[in-house]
Amino acid sequence: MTRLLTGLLFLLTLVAPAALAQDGRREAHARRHHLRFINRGDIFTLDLNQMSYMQDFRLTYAIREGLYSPTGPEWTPVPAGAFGVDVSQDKCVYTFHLRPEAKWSNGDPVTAKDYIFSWFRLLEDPGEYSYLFNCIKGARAYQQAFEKTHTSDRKTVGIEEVDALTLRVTLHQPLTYFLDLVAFPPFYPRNEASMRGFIIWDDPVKQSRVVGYRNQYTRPPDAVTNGPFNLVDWKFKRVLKLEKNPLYWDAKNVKLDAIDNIINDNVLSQYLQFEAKAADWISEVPADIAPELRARGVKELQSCTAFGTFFLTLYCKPNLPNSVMGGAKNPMADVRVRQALALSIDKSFVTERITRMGEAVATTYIPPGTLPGYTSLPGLPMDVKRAQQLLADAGFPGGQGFPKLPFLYNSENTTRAKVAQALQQQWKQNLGIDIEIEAIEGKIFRQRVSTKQYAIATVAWYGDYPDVSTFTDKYRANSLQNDSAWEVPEFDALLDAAAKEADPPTRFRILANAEGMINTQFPIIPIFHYVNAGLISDRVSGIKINPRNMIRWKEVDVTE
Amino acid sequence: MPRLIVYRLLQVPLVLAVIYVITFLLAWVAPGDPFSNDRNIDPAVLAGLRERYHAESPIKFLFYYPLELLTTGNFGDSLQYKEWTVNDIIEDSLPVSMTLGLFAMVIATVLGIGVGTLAAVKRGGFVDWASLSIALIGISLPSFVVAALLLMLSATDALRGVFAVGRFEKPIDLILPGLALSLAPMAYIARLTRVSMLDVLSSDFVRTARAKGLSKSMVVWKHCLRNAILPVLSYLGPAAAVTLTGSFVVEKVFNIPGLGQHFINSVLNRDQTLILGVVMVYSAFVLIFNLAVDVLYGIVDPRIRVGGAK
Repeated sequence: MTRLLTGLLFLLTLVAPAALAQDGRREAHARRHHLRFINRGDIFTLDLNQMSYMQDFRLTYAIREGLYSPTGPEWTPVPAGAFGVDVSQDKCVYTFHLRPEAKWSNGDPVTAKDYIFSWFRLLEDPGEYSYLFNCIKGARAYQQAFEKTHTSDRKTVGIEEVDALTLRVTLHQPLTYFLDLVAFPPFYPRNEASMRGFIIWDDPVKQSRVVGYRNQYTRPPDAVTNGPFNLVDWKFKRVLKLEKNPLYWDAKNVKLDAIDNIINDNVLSQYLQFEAKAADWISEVPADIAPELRARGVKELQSCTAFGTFFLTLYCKPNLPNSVMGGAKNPMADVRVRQALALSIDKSFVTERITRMGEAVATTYIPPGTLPGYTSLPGLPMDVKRAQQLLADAGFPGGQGFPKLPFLYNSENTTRAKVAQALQQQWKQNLGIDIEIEAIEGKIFRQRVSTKQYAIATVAWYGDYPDVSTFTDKYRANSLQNDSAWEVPEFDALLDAAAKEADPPTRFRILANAEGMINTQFPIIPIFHYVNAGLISDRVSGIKINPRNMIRWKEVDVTE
Repeated sequence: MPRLIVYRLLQVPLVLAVIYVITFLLAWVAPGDPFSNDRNIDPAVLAGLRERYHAESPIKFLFYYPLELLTTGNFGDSLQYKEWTVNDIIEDSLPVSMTLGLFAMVIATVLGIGVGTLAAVKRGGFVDWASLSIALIGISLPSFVVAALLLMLSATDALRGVFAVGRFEKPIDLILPGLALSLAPMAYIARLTRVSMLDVLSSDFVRTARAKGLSKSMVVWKHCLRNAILPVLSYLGPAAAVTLTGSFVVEKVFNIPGLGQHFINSVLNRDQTLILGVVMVYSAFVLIFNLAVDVLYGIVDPRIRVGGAK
């Protein structure tokens, strides 16, 4: 009896899988024109107001479309929802001509009103990227007024409907990269009618004012979009299924029939999925595994310099913040100390021993070669002797009397822990100073850095749009993103001068000088430029790794 | 007995309310902002988000969400996964975890009790020795190792077509994670059963039963097991609550969209509404399973009738 029972159970666990095997085999078979890819991580939101993560943008490019679309490795904007634009003589007025054949997935035509509705949502219910609209005449003032009174005159803003298919935008001053902005998802249109069921009212009974829209409007079956693909199914934490949009104006040039955006944040199982041909593309191979695959020479692994830099941010105010060493005098307020810290670092140790993806050692803030036509001024290479001299000049000969500053890093990131330890060692060896490294959990780390309660911290910055200002604006004195509290009027003056300059090469020269100030005065110490690494199966065409990992969905195909 | 059940059931809402308040306090005391991001967010944007999610202040939060929960049964929107309500997330992930957990618990209980009993009966023999070794492995080998090994097994050529690798699509995909999840409780149950079975086997009534001519298997499975199973039952209550609400490690390795991952992730994200949601679900499970165990105790061993039943 006993033996029978256990034997039976044992048999059952063995036989059951085999019995169902047939079903599984069919499923593992790859399909033509059907892409299955593992996106960078969970999709956080598909709402254009609140979106800020790479994976969310990537999917948005498949399901939505703006006036222009970014293309190619250089991200050049090409006409999409608009078939053309007239730019005024003074380069301040853009008149977009919308494509009459452009349709929403419910069959409605896409009109100027849809753009205006969507753009005003970002002014009235601001999100992280609302600041991009500040270049439009009256937009900033409108947003501030609306925040206070909840009403404001839309006529004061340079966004107007000329007719159903013509949209006119007026800027404060010429902006060389305005079309790049227009190609960025926060500038995409939305279908108001489909969102009405999701309004959050200030008062559910009176319904006098719209506070916002519940993000659920982006979920199928309620989502109404205008891109080459429609979102047909969204299984939380599992998969987002996209199908070709038959109503898309350029549907004949869309190659794929379906896309599965697989959600999988486990490194090992991601790779196994790719190996088992259950995934055709891993858009960002995690840093835990990429160097290993590179060392093994896996041929599907593609990599290139990314549009982002890893660096240390240094607190620059005369006194440390109160929570750090009781607000003592800050040695890093002295530019010589910052230079000494920077010049004594062997950055190649970090890239060759820790990150191991062939990253370029960074002496400049902006990754070289990622912006066509722009060249950074050379930064300062490693020079231990000079570093020691600078530190002595600043009053700390041989590191004597230098306070034990805390060095913060985000403990969720294993690479950063190793970098912090390496730098602690190097500073001790090369400058004779002691730094105390401190691992902090992600959310607290972000809070400490954004409220400037730190001395030294490891951070990163990725550009949003293809222009130098996406990097340099971060260090304006009044910038929200200026974590270093580095306030230099000359730097701001250069940025202002560049903003007024209409001639692109001259503008780039001015910005290079501004970037040069960062590269030599070190409110930040650039360590290395990131590398994008993706695993792309040879069944896939039309995906090539590039600095922003930007893909043009129309061109992608899967063969078998 | 019915009085006991009613009495205990009446306690449940009170205990849950206390847990709610304590969890809420812990979630608010912890530093870090649910709305923070890799970039610094404009204070105006942050204020808008806080207003929208009724999180301007702890007081406002505590006034809004419990009321919402009591009147509509909703935990509110997740602060991290903004397209989903906490109820959406729980409804979606709890059944997955429960199926997986149930499967694991059935394997663990049946095999654990079976092996434990055999080991006790054949004390000092091969089965005893083998079960001890397996139990040792089960207890000391962390589930992430077992899970990773099984995951790699599923990606081998032989099994590649059988299981979806690192994905949950159909019930069969739960077999390997279920095995990984069952190993620890199985080992524990086997050891518990063996020890208490040895105890029972040496008692007088067993000798009497044998003396009056009952077969050995009849005595062991019918008379002894009923007594020996009591410690296992008291372990099963909380163990079932843990297993049925999901395991972070196993779900992470096999990429299973269960509830377990949210216990950790919601805290890391400071997703306060989701933290409260999963904690309340888990607490309800623990309370109910503990009650069920107490009731079962009475059924299995009539001598134990908790709470003044006459």
